[in-house]
Amino acid sequence: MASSRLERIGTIFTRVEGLLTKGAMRADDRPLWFDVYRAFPPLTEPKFAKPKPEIKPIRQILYPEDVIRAKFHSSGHGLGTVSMISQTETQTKRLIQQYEKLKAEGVPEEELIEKSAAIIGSERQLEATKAKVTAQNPDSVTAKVMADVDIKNIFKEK
Amino acid sequence: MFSNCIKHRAFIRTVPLLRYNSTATESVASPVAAETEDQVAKKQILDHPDYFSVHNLFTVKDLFDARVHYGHKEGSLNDYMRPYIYGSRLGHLIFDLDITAEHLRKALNFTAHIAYRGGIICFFNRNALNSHLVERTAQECGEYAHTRFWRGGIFTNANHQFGAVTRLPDLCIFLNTQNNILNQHTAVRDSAKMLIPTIGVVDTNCNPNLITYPVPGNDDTPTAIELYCKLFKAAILRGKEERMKFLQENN
Amino acid sequence: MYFNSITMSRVIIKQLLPHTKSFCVTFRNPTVSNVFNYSTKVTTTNSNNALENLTDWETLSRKKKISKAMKAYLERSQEHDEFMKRQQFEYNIGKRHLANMMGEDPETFTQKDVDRAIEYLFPSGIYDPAARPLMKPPEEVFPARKAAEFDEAGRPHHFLFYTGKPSYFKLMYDAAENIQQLYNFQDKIIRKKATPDPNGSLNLSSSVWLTKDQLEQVLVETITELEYNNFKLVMQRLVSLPHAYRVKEFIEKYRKPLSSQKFALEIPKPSYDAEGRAFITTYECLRKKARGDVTVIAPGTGKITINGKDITYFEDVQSREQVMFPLIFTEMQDRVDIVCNIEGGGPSGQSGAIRWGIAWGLRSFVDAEMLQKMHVAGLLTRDFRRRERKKPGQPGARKKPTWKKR
Repeated sequence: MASSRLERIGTIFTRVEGLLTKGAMRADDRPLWFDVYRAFPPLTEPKFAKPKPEIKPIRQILYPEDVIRAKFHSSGHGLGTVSMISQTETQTKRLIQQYEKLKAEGVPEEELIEKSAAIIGSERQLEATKAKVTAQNPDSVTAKVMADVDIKNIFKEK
Repeated sequence: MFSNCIKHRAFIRTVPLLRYNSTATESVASPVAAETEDQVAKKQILDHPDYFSVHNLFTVKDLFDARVHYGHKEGSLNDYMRPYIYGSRLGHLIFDLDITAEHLRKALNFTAHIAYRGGIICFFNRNALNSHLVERTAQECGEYAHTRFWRGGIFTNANHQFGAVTRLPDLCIFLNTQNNILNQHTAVRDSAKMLIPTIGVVDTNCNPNLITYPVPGNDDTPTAIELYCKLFKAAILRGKEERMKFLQENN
Repeated sequence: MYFNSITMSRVIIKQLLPHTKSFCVTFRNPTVSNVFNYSTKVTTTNSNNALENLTDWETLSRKKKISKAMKAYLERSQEHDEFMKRQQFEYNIGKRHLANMMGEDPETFTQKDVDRAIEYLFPSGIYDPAARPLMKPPEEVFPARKAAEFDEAGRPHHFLFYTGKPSYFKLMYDAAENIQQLYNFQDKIIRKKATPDPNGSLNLSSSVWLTKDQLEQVLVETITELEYNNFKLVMQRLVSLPHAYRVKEFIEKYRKPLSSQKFALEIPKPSYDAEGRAFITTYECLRKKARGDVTVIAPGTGKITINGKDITYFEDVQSREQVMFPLIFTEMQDRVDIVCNIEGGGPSGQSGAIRWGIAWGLRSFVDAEMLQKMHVAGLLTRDFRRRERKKPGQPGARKKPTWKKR
């Protein structure tokens, strides 16, 4: 095919167009994509030599709850692993929701972090024990023993 | 303000040209009407803004769920990718999915049209993690794939490489335009040389200049690649379906 | 379409004209600037109508154009056919001439006769048979041509055609596909807590992976060392999976059975003579220029007969040791009798031939473990070395004249 291999000059469309208008390429031999390109040109011309776009500072994406998140993370809460497959809310998100709730209730600023962390922590433990007991047969001996056991303080002397 | 004035003047100069053109369109419009009815009906395929209805293939939410919006770190940003970026979240660039959707729809429409015309479509990908998926997609839609080491000259020296006169692809779809993190895939350049249009998923560290229809988006994550593969496959199959109808009518 | 965009530009401009300020802002928008470029271009192209009177694709495609690739292929294959026809014609003429020269009937003259005639008419002392004069049918002389790899529209048949090595990469693709299927199957088994199939197993000890050359023959493609290593890596990964037996057919396509297993089956049963003694005769015991046959008779007393004489047939100790070695190695020296006829060559060649003959015959009288040991000791390996010819310009096969500076 008679064509220019200088990919840095113009675009593929302008090169074919030039060949067609000057008669170097017969109209019936034009590439298959030519009409489609003409009907639906790309949003920007695919030129190699293009001026660089104006360099503006990149916008930083920040949310108001980032501040709360930072507070939790700096005191060591909500730093556990996150499963990207599970659809449940992450721990950090739950902590933030608890924080908002407590704040609405009027709990003083200094206690908010520790209180919400404590609530979420106990919730999680409850869930964990519940899951363990219900997973097995509720009538079995193991289940009864498990129900009585205080897992959190299992190693503590009485 | 001075620059504005210059632009303004330049603009005024173009006005008569545009007017002239507008009359030209009218004069050309008459022979179109004189054409046979069949041809007019067929012409509509190109006149229709979305003949294969590829716009309903996906929503921006789908793109978000497939993690298309994740870019690379700020340091590796290619300046030509700046217009497609929404912002930076703690150092990681985030694509503007509205722009991505617009570009992707253009690309899908183009793909469907090429498939309708019986063009050869070749999928490219140099990421070993996704290459099997890409090859399978190509096989499923009856098209071609090249996800392996690119021996130089497959396009530019094809007759020698394949030992015979060979028809080259009519469209190259790059699901990843980088060969490795530093170099662009040679096929991008070679396609431009051989007048083959390209569609490419360009991440924030890629150069979109030589890609005919760039699609700004994440090019590493398997879920994202899966989504692209699904969309391109659907577009190709729609194009081919129409093609079958066209061929049946004419035989 | 083309004209649409122009009319669109006019609409935009009408809107923009009243207030210039907003115009400048919108003008930075790439789409509008494109329109600007576009409109200037039209004025230049307007003079010739090349771009405006394009026949649309639908009309063109009705003409049923045959692709350039296919056209070139058809031309080439036609050319090739004609060439082969010509060659066939010439071969037939040549065959008739040969038959006449040899005074035989040209109608019943076969390829075998041709070979014989050529050997007779053009005697050649060239060492390599491939370099000697020959006359073969053209199908054997000219390599077969590749069939077209694409259809009439020029579309390749294989989906990995553009990689240049479609069969090799298809193999890699299939292997990956199988690995993925096995992963899915394994997940299913674990989820169902099912016990694995006890009958499913993959026995790979009796076969090896195809070598690079064999794989190239199977694929009909040349592959690099790196690609062969990749093939082996992928296949080993596939085989290492717990449910690999499910893809046994695929794996066995690329494995070759080991030859040693075959060799164990081929041990002949001894026959019995008039006195009821078991004996086995090995013919064609070759070493250097010596040639003979060896009979091993069991039970015996260790009597060795070589051309009617005993072991003193060989005068030097080395040759006698050679003959005794397999007997001593298997500790059969006073349990079997040996009778051999040997001719040609010298003492070392003759003794070597007898040694191999004895070892080969003893296979029928020893157990499998000893057989393995004999194999390892090299007793069952033929020594194919022959005298190397003297080269011109030097005194021996390898020996060079003494080097003098001047």
